[in-house]
Amino acid sequence: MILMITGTRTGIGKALAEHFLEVGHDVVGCSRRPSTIDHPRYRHHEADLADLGQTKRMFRSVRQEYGKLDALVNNAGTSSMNHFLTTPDEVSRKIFDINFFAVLNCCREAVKLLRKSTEQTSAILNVSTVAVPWAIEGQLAYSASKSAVEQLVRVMSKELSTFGIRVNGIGLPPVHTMLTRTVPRPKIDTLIARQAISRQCTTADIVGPVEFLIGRQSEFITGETLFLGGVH
Amino acid sequence: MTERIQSVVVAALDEINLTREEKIPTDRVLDLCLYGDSGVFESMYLVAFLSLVEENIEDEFGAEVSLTSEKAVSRRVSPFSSVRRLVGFIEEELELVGVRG
Repeated sequence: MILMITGTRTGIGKALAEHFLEVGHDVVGCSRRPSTIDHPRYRHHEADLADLGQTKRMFRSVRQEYGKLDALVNNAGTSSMNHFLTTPDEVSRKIFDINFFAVLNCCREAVKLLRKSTEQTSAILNVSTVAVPWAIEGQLAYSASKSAVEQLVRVMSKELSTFGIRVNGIGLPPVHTMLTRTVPRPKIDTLIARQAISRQCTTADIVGPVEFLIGRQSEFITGETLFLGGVH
Repeated sequence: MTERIQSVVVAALDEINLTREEKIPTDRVLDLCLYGDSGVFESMYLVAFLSLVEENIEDEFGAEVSLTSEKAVSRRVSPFSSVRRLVGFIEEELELVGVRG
């Protein structure tokens, strides 16, 4: 398979890229800064996904090199934990630019390449968060942007089913990444205590479900967001 | 330039035909209606076809045109009413970005 994973410089995106390279796939990754992955089947694009022009250029380059994609994992995202009364307008807009509009643009560009996939079905997977079902205070813009992504999953799954493209989501509880490094430990522990499986989610916990959701074993699943850790 | 654009559009139709059971007739291609009451495409398939044409135009002319823009869809005479009109619309758009025949 040829996969594109966004946000591969660190954290979950990097772990996913390394896993899929290890099991023999070709991986195209991106981040705003240079790659931290060195592998012959890995291609890195330095791109700011909030910039549509850069996003289009990246996908054009993928088309010229590979001619198709089999899966897209929209992992790149940003967050800002703050009471909504003290969250500046530009911060909320930036969160939506990266967490929602960049995902929408990547999906739009990727569909052209996913339609050329030679796999039985091709797949888009979007990353969501427990902040949506739990409506965690202090995360209004972040959870609202991810809530929009979950709606995107539902609607897009219907609009793309005629092209054999599945669209799903994966909802993550707190994982130790750059995104959560500023969240105080007691706050993380409180969230973990709410999970049915009350330990912190690791990147190793995410790899398997991602592999399932973009692979053949889930070819009858679309429009769903699967939450990890027992959050409902 | 018109012939080159026409070739690009026909190549996209040929590519689409590879995956269709009911083939789109391309013998009188310029008069072929793409969308509407007698059109060969339903809306989603039209969008997919136009995406393919956009890619092929970019490869052929090294320039980007949008065939699903507000400008394209809001024209009094739709560029999708025939291949001839689509070719004409693409030619106008290419000229706007400085591509001449």
